[in-house]
Amino acid sequence: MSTNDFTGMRKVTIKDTATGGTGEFVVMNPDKVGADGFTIALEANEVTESSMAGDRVSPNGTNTSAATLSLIPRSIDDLAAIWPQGYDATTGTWQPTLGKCVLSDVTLAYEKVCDSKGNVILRHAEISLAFELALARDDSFTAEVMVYPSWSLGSEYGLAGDLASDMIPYQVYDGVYDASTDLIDFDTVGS
Amino acid sequence: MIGLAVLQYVASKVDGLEVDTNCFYEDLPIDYDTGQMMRYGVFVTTEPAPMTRTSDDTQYLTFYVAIGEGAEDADGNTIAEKYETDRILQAIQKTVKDSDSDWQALSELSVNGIEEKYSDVRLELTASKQRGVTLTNGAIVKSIVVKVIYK
Repeated sequence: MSTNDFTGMRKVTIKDTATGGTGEFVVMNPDKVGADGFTIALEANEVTESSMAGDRVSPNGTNTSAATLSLIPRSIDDLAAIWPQGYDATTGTWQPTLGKCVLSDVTLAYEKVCDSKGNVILRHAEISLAFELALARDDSFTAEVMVYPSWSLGSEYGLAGDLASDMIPYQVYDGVYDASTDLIDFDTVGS
Repeated sequence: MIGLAVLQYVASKVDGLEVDTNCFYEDLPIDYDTGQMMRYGVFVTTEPAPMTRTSDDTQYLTFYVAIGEGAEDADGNTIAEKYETDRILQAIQKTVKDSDSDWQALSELSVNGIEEKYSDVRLELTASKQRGVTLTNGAIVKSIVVKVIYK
């Protein structure tokens, strides 16, 4: 019956791995993930050769750019869960701060909740706390969170062989991410 | 039969609704001799929704609510029909709104007694309540349209 493995209700798991894989994690369930979801694009790295005949442009690789993740925080607690650095527990307030106050070196998994197909994970990504705070009388506040992929070894994504030593920015997988171990339990291939 | 599966789900969330007792699928119990409604309650009908070859299955369902004379609350007290019509519609609307938080239940829906299952069911509101026809006994029919996306 399934027509497309990539459609479906999603949750987002963000795990702060900066403390050696034992960091805190937060799960944003489907009611807090916007319908426009997650957008990530790799840009072509181009070289231009000039000659008498004119310029010739060709791709010679890939280049990462910021990805956007659409979340619908419903409370200050939600903001605090995504960006713990901006949260002050004493006053219960959340505020962005100046400088490189990013959630750095996180694992971010964008997974279906109803099956294990067509998921995406980014390792060693950074999450900027720069987003538009748009509050309206009759519309919910959606945060377009900027996520910056990092090139990481394939072995960190659980790959062996040639891909283990290649640098990759994200992985698309069938399986389930376990935030407590920071590992993916991949589905059996062909299932 | 996704309409019936969704109707059963919605009925389980709204006080006083029970499929076959006051919730009916693709069926308006009308006495064709008199044109009178023989039973009151919620009626779900299937409407076409835009779809593409690669999209998940998509369907609009219209929930018609018709409450006529003699409506009673759980304690058997008579209640105003218009009030009851609106209460039920409001509860259906809330169920659809809250369905994002209930993905465990909606990850797989089935119709009682039938093996076919619908997975990854998503419910969306497309518009708010609409007033419909007035029945011969004065009862007002109101409806709400729900978009269902499923695999």
